[in-house]
Amino acid sequence: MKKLEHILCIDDEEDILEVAKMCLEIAGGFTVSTLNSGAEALKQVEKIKPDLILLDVMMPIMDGPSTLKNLKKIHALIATPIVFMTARVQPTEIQQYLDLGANAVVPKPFDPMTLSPLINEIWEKFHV
Amino acid sequence: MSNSENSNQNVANSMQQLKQRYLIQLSQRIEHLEKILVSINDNQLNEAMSVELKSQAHKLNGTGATYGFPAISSAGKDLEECMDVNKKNTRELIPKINGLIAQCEIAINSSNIITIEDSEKTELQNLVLSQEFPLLLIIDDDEDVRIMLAELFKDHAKTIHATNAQQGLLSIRQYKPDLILLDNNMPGELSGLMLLENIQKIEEIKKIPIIMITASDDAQEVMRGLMAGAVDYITKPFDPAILTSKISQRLQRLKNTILVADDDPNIRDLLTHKFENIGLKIITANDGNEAWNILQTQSIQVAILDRMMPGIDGLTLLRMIRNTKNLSKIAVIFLTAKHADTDVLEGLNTGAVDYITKPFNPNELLARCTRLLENKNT
Repeated sequence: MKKLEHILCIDDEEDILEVAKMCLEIAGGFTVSTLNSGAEALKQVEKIKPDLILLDVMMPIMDGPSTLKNLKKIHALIATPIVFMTARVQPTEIQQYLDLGANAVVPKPFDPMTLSPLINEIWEKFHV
Repeated sequence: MSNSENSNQNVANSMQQLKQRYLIQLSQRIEHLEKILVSINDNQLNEAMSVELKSQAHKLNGTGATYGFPAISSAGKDLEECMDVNKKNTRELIPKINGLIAQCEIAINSSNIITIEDSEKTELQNLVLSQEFPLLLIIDDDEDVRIMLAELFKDHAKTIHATNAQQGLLSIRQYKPDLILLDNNMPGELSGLMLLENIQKIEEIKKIPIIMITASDDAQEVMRGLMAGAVDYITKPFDPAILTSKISQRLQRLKNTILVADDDPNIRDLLTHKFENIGLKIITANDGNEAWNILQTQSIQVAILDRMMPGIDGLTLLRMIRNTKNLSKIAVIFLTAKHADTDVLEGLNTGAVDYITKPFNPNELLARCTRLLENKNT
């Protein structure tokens, strides 16, 4: 199994990007790139070449599901798990995200201390 | 310590730093929420505000617990859910918004940044209420400088101190000082300049005059400070005599409030800008009735009145002032288009201390007004 090294976080909320980057870098030892919109992600994702994408659901202009749909069309991302981050985690909502093609869902607000192990777990499950 | 304990400790340390910034942003979020609350109370919540409110609720729900404030997340979630089910009755949102604001304020107040003791707080709140002296906030990490500045201005103001920018911002929000002396290079996440820039984004405190006092005389830094809204810039080491003279004059002026009553918004804006620039407090009224209400409820030293305005006209207002015992010492200046000799005489005979006709030179009005205040204060 390839080692998880590079994570791309996409969220319009700077508070989330900062804390996610900090704890994934310090506690997880990952390289973390951040972008604050779906449109920006579509422009840059092939250059960034992340191993895993953490994607916010509620973003202005292009929301998470639309971004996901467009990311899924990019051939280079075929083996890249895309994980939704959202405060909306009712069972029916989670099912909708998975139906859209998300590989997992991380509930917000997340605990900075446990985000890295959670992402590692998701990465491992993806490769089983 | 194991590697994992080490990295947990590092995450915790970094979280502390990020938390300080989050708390500062909470102040701005509270302001957004309060504005929306006012719109709901006035039945003026439009679609854009509704979207903004939902976005704020969602963001606070999604971030609060991550930053160690689970009650903010819960209150944000409550509001978000209430908006989902309550699309029409916006009044139902009021308690939820108040709940969210309260949780944000609790988070700000419970953070360990404020070092003012409770006993001092009570004393300070009494002081702020008494308005006997202007309140001067000194933000500087150097204790010697803080003590020296407090000593220099002890006869002109009551001083409170903050040792870093974060603590300074919280004190500004809590106590709304009349004047701030701000150092630039201080320990912590925020420099004085960054604090200054942040303050300009917060409506309720952005008008508080700030004087930068810093060791750097780098022209670009001075320019950035002034561009960011500092009213003056003094470099260390400073000459105490010059500093005292500059700041005492400002503090002296802060004891005075000027009322400008004119139905022309351009004149109100122009004079507000001019007077605030030199550190004078100004209150405006757009008609005579509003001016009369202000005169009865606020402590006014000089009233600049238009003669022809809606509601009570300027001359009647002057008579009412002269006939009211606790208002009779207010100095009244007429600023009016009525320029006939008989008008001027009528104004002065009724008790105006000065009579300026429109069009007028604002700098001349400013000079006449400050001289009047200086005479009154001596």
